[in-house]
Amino acid sequence: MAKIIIAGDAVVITSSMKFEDLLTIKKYQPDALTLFGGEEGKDPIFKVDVTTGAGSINQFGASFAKATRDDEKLATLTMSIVEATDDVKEWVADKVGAALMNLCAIEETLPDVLQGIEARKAEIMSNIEIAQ
Amino acid sequence: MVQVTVGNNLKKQKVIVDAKTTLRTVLTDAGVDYTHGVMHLDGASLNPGDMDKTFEDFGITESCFLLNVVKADNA
Repeated sequence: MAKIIIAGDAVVITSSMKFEDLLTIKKYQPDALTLFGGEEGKDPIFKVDVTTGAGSINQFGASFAKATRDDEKLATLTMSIVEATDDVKEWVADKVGAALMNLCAIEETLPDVLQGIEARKAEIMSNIEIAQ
Repeated sequence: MVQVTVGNNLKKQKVIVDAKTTLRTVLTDAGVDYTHGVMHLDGASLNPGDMDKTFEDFGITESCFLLNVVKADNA
């Protein structure tokens, strides 16, 4: 599950997925990053994406912008605490709690998606022959 | 992320995109012909050059309507 760290007025949300892996999934199987719902299960209700800058999160999705600086290189986004609050944990939970639940639901499926992509890529690579 | 209701007089669909996505990308992916009629973003008509701006450039952070309006000629 995504982790949240509060430092001053900055809230850093770290995904359980590597930034590079999200880029890979976006390239080869972008629909896997969208949570669908609605009556027929075809309406997008939450989406994970990669972007530049600081990233963002709201009720429609989460955009991760950078990787952690340690060896894990997990995807992160940074948001600011813009309202005065005595209970910052409560404020963060209120602002992004629902979004984090949807993010968690998508992240749970991504390791299997990534594994499938890597298997198909390996198959394609094995069929590439360098003649000269 | 931005929820965009994109389409035209006949058909609309909701998509979710990053705020740094351009209007042109969303319209192309949705298969909307923006070469005919007038493009509107939240009811305001767009100008030449606006298509390659992002939703963030327009200050849109949550949701919006991006619609192509074609006015048929009257008899």
